[in-house]
Amino acid sequence: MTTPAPSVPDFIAGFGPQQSDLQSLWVSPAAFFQQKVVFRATQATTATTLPSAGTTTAIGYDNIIEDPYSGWDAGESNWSPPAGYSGWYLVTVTVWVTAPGATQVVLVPHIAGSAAGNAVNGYPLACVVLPNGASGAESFWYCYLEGGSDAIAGAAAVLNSSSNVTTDLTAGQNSSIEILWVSG
Amino acid sequence: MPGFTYPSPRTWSEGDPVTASRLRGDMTNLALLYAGGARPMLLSVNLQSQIPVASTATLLYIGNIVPLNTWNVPVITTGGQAYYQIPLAGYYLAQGIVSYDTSGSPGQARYSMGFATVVNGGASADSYGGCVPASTSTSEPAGAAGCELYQFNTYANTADTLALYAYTSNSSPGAVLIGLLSLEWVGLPTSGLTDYTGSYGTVVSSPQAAASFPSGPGTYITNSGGIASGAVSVTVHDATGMVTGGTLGLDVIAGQPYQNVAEAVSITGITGTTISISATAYAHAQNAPVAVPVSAAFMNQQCRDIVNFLSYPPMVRAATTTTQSIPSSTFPNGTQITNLSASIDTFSGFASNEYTVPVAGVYFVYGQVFYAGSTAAFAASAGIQVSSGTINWGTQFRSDTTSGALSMCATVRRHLRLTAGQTIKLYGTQNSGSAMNTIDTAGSFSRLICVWRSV
Repeated sequence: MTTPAPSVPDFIAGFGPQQSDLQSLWVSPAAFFQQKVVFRATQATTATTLPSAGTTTAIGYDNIIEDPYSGWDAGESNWSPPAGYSGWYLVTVTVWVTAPGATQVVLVPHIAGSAAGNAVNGYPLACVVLPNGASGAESFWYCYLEGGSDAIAGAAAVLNSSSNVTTDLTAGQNSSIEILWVSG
Repeated sequence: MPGFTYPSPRTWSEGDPVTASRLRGDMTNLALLYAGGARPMLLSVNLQSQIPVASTATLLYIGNIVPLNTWNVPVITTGGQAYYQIPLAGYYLAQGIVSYDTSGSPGQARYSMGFATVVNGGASADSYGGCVPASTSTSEPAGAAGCELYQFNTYANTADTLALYAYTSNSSPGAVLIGLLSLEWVGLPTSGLTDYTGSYGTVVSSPQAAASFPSGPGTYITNSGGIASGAVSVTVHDATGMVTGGTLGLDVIAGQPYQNVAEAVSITGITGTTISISATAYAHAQNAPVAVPVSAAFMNQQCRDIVNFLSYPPMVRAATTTTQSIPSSTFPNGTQITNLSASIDTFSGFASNEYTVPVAGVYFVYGQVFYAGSTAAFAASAGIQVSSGTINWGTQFRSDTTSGALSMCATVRRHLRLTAGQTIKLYGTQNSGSAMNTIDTAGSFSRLICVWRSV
C-alpha cells in the first residue's frame, strides 16, 4: 500500500476545516508516518561476481520482497524513491559470498549511487577478513534521496583476492538490502 | 527547534471544541518531528585520518563533514570536538562505523568501534560494537560497524553527550580511514530523567490506522424497512469517521433533528457498514439521515493515540549479564545467545531471551555476539532468527591471532517485516574446534536491539 507524500499541516486560527481539508492536513500525513516508504530485497537466484581487481560492484538483488512504490530498477540494480518522497533514508546492507578460494580476502560492503547526499559513496562501510568458506559483512548508512531522480544501490568489493568471488544465494547467508524513509 | 514541544497529545472529552490551536499542538507538532526536521538527527563523517592511540579508546572528531544536524547542535568544524550534545530527551538509535588503514602486524590485532556517553548525568561505560580481525597484509583495511540504543536526558539538563571512538590493539596503529556516526531520536523517554519536565512516552498497544474524518453531511440508514425501537444494530451507507465509543445521531441532519424521533446512540462495535449501537428508543426509517459527529472517541483514536504511538513505538535493548559457552559447530549451525536482560523494553515484549513482537510492522533489528577469541584460527558470526525460521546471518570474519587470543564481535543488522507474536532471537556460531566463551564485561557484551519503524 502506498500513502501520499508527507507534509506539515498548518492549522490557521479561525479556519473551519472541511473533511477534505482534514484529509490533507492530518489523515494523509499521519498515514505516511505510520506506513513509510520501505524497500526490501535479497539475492536468491542469480549470483553477482565480485572481481578480484577490487572493483566495487552493485549486487543484483533478484528477490524483491517489498517495493510498494515500484522504485527498483533491475537493469541498473538500484532503487529510487518516487517523486515527491525526497528525504533521508536509512539503508542497511548485508553481503554474503561463497568460499573465496583462499584466506586473507577482505570483503567490503558499500552503498553506492547517484544521491548527492550520500557522502560515503565509494568509502568502505566495513572491512571484514574472510575465512575460506561462506562468509559475509554488514553495514548501513543514511542517504538523502531526491524522489524521482536519485538512485541507491547495495554493492561490494573484495580486496586481496587472486580470483573473482561469487555472492552466496543460500537462504540466511545471502545478500540483502533494506531502505526505509526516516525523515523529511 | 522553534515551535516544537515534546509530544503530549490531549485526551479528548465529549463536547471539547476542535480548535486550530489544539490541532496544531498535537498534529502539527508530530508532523514537525517526522517531516519538518524537528527530530534530532546527526550524521558525521570523519575523513581526518586520525591516528588512534594503541589499545586506547580514541574519540573521533565529529565536525569534519556533517551531512545532517537537524538541531544545529554546536559542532566545531576544525579540530577536536568529539562529543554530540544531546538536544532533546528520549531514545536515540546510535550507529557507527570505523574502518582503519593497517600497519605493523595487522593480522595479530583487533579493530573495533564503540560509543562513549554521558547518560542522565552519569558517565556510562563505553559500549563496544563490531570488533574484527584484519588481513595479514598491511595493504588491506579493517573495520566494523556497531549500534546502541540509549535513553538520554538533554545536555542542558545533565550534560548528556555521545561520542564515537576507535579502538585497535595494534601497537603501531594506522590511521582511521573513515569514521561514520549516526544518531537518530526514535522516541520519548520512559521515566527517571533528572530535572526533565517534558512528557514521557505512553504505550498504545493497539494503534489504529489513520482514517478519514466524518463527512459533514453524514450518512443514512440502509436497512430494508428501517430499524425498530430497541434495535442494537444499524447498517449505514458509509461508516467513515465512526469508531467504537463514538456517537451517532439517528434522524439528525446538519446538527438538527430531522424527525421528532431524533436521538443519539453510542457505537459499541463496527463491522464494515454494520454498526452495533446502544439500544434505540425509537424506530427509524430506511434512508433516515445519520449524523456522524467528530466524537471524542474518534479524536482520541485518530489524534491522541497516533501521536502517542509514533512518539513511543515498541523498542527493546537486551544485553547479556554473563558469559556463555558457544560450542564449535559447522556453519550455519548456531547457538542461541542466552542470559539476556532487557534494559529498554517499551512494550514489555522481552522474556526468556527472546523478543515477542507486540505490534506488527517493519522493525530495525540489530544483534552482536562478542567472542573471547582463540589462538586457533576460527570463523564467527552473529545471526537473527524470526520465530523458527532460517537464521539471518550478518558479518562472518576469520580470526587467526596466533600471538594470543583476542576478543572479537560479529554483528548483524536488518529491517524485517514482523507480525505480532513472532519472536526474535540472537544467535552465534564459531568453528574454532573447541567451545569458546562469549565476553561479558562493562563495555564488551552481546546485545539485541529492535525498534519499530513502520507499518
